[in-house]
Amino acid sequence: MRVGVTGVSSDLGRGLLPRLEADPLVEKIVVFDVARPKDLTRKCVFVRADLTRPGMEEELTRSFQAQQLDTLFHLAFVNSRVHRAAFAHELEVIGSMHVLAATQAAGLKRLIIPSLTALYGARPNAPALFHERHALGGAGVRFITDRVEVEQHIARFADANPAIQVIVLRFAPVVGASANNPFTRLLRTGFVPTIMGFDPVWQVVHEDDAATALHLALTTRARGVFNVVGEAAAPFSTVVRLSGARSLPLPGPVLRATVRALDAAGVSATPVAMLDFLKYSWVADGERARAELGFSPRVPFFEAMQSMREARS
Amino acid sequence: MAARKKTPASKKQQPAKKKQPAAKVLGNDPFARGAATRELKTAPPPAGPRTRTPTPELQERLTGKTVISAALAQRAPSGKAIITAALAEAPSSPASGARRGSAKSGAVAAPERALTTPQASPEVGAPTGKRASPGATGTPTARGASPEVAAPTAKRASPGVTAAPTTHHASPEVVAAPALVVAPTAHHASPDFTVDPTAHRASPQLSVDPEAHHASPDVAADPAAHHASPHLPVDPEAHHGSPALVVDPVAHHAAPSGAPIDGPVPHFSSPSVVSFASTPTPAPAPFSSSPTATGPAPSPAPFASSPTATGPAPTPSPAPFASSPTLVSEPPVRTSPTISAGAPQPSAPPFASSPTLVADEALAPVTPRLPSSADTGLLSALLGAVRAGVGLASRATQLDHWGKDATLASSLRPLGELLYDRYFRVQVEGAQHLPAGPCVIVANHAGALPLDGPMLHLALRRERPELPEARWLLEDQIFHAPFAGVLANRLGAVRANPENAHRLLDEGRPIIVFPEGFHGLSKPFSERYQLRRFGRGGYVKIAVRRGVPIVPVAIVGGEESMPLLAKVPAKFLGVEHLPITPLPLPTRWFIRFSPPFDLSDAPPQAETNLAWVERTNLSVRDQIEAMITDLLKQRQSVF
Repeated sequence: MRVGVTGVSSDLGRGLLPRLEADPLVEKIVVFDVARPKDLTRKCVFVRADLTRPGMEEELTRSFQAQQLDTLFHLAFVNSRVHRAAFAHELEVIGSMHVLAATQAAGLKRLIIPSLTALYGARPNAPALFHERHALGGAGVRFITDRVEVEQHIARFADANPAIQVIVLRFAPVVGASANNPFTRLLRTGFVPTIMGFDPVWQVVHEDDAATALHLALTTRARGVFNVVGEAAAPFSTVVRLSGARSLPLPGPVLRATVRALDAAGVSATPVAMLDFLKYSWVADGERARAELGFSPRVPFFEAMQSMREARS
Repeated sequence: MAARKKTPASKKQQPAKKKQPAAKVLGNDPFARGAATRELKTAPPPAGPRTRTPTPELQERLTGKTVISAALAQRAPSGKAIITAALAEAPSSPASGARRGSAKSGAVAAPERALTTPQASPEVGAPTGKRASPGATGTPTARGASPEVAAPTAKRASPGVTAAPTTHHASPEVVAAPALVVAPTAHHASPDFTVDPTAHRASPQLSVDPEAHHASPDVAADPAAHHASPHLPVDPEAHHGSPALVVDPVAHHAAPSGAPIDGPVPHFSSPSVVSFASTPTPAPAPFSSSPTATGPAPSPAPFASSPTATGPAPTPSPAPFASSPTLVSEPPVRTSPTISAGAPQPSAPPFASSPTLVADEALAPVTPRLPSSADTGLLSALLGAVRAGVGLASRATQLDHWGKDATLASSLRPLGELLYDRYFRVQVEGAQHLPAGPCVIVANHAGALPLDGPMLHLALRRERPELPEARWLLEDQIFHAPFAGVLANRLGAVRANPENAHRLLDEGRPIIVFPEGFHGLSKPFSERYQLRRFGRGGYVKIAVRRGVPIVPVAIVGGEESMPLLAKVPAKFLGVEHLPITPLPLPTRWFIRFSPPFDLSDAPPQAETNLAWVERTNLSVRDQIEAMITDLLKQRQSVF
């Protein structure tokens, strides 16, 4: 099996690479990135590729064919909210379209793409448990809407190309000693503002479990979308506390005004709409991943949070 | 069809009723206005259009409660009287033989399955109906009373019998014991706990000689007088229905209160409560969680017991035991409603150890933290609730996916029990009507604060501990309200939405809905107990789509407990208004479950037949309204 990976230096990529290296089924790992990662392993082959560049799909197609790939992990996402929203859009939406086009042209057999349960959005009118069939929401936050757009492209792509096994894994917020995403960065600040009187139910997934889920997707016969969540749901305040940070409950209007002001001033890149995630529960149902993908989280919730705490100190 | 025709008629009556002059006000409502103003003479069909035997049956149910409580009271607080002692006085062989025979036959006749669906059983139903009609009048025959009672008893007994047949059959004396009447299983199971025969002999009120009735079941007849009394309806079904009977908290609340008042009756203080708790003795029976064990017991007298109704209580004496109804009933009836505080029951084990609690946690991932002592437990639980509501780090490490925090819920449970037992003195009727499987429980909102959800939930846990844990659905207005919404969610509330409802039913749980929604909570006090529109009938669609029964429930007491005095606009908090209400007042609460609503006339594709859905919705609403009216009428006092 010859596997391609984009965005190998992302959190998920770093977790996945050792597993692919150790997997006897994998003959070769072709790494696509803008710069050569430092710690490439024995099976790895590096191919320089900038997904945001126009005309990239042809280059990718040629590489795919030259390397005789049959599976591609597309992990190149910003996975963050950044000031350079235009760049994020280019990379995530346009880059994904290049990848999809190349996948189709090169005739790969399998495409695996990570996503987020946050795409369901935290909404007052949401069901208590999000199933994979639920509509994605999250309007108002660029960081979310870009990813929703990507998923829409993927869904159409999967419909149009039944020969290609497309697997989308929607991850709950990833935590762990080396996890680096907006959520873990927020926890590492030490003080997490929350909305007084609200304590939504959150889920997390440990980075090891996330990598395991990706690895499982390499050989599964299932296709489609899967929620990948940890074994437990917990109040947001508990997540904060167990990570070693302290929650700072503020009255909703005060917090809202503050965030809006900071956003307008350009100090932070957090849009006001993100506050909904601190207000409404967003819990995804991991049943399908368990039943069809064979994924069951190994790291208990408490240990996952423990790893966050240890990483702080 | 007949039932259908009734509906419009009863609806027409409603407006008229509301305009009744104050003269018709029931004596029970000092505030006497609004819906409480109901005419006395015509009893609205409490069971609504589709139930077969409306008023009398309900009354019976009430009475039954009283009786049970009476019986329990007898058994309740006293020391450790000995069954054997009872034996000495007991008539013995013929009675025991008879009892044994009947018990056995009962067991055979009524398989345990019957426990779950009491109404279905013909033996129960038929006699009840029969008695019901004449019953309203003064003299129910002993016959009428006994068969129905007998059947239930036997049924109820059956599990117990299986558990410890030898003990209870073996001791004929048990038969003699008055307490026996109430909870046969209890003593069977636990020979150690015995009823004090002497005590009860001593009591002047025990007009009936134990032997007498053992020997002749007809003795049961003389208490007939109470059957007649509207205030003391007899409900044999109440206990027989299910193991819940055993668990009937109301009964046991009643006990202590009765005791002090009626001083003369020593056997009130009998250890029966204990024995009750230990019912499952030999083997952990399904009803292991008895309220007795769970709660600090006592609550003031049952509402059925009116000062006026001092008469002997109805005795739904479980016939097979031949125990006399009179014995059982008398003392509790005497209990006056004025006694507000129940005496703490020494024998009751701390609720921390309650099996119910454990059962509660069965579904939850977290094992409960049991408070070591009630005080510190309560304090820390309250603190936990506040922290959870504010959103400060709650102690919970895990929630179930609905957001319920089992740890917090179980640590707050003592507080709930306290409210339930001592403060609101909740009295539950008809819990045996709840089907074993998933169902939709439809209730009226009562009071300015949504305390009815937790109370109803607690009632279910206590009355029917064998059912999967229910969840109640809350409208967005409350569910997304700051503090309250979070707290409710941690305690088991789920956002009301069809998808959540279906999913909960899929899990086999009963769901509790309050179709009035937020409007039900924003009624001014002058309009208390006037039901608001029942939403758009979403619960009907859900029930008919899943094919699960609808169980109408009336909750009375909450409106006076938490009167809505004013509303403060609170848009900035995300809610329409904040209710201004005193701290919940210690009114007496009543919760009445009606038999499942008949959905058999549902046309194909019923959920898309909007006319049918609307009609059914209205019928359910009418039924609940009728039950409320009935409960208000029967209520002796608000407090």
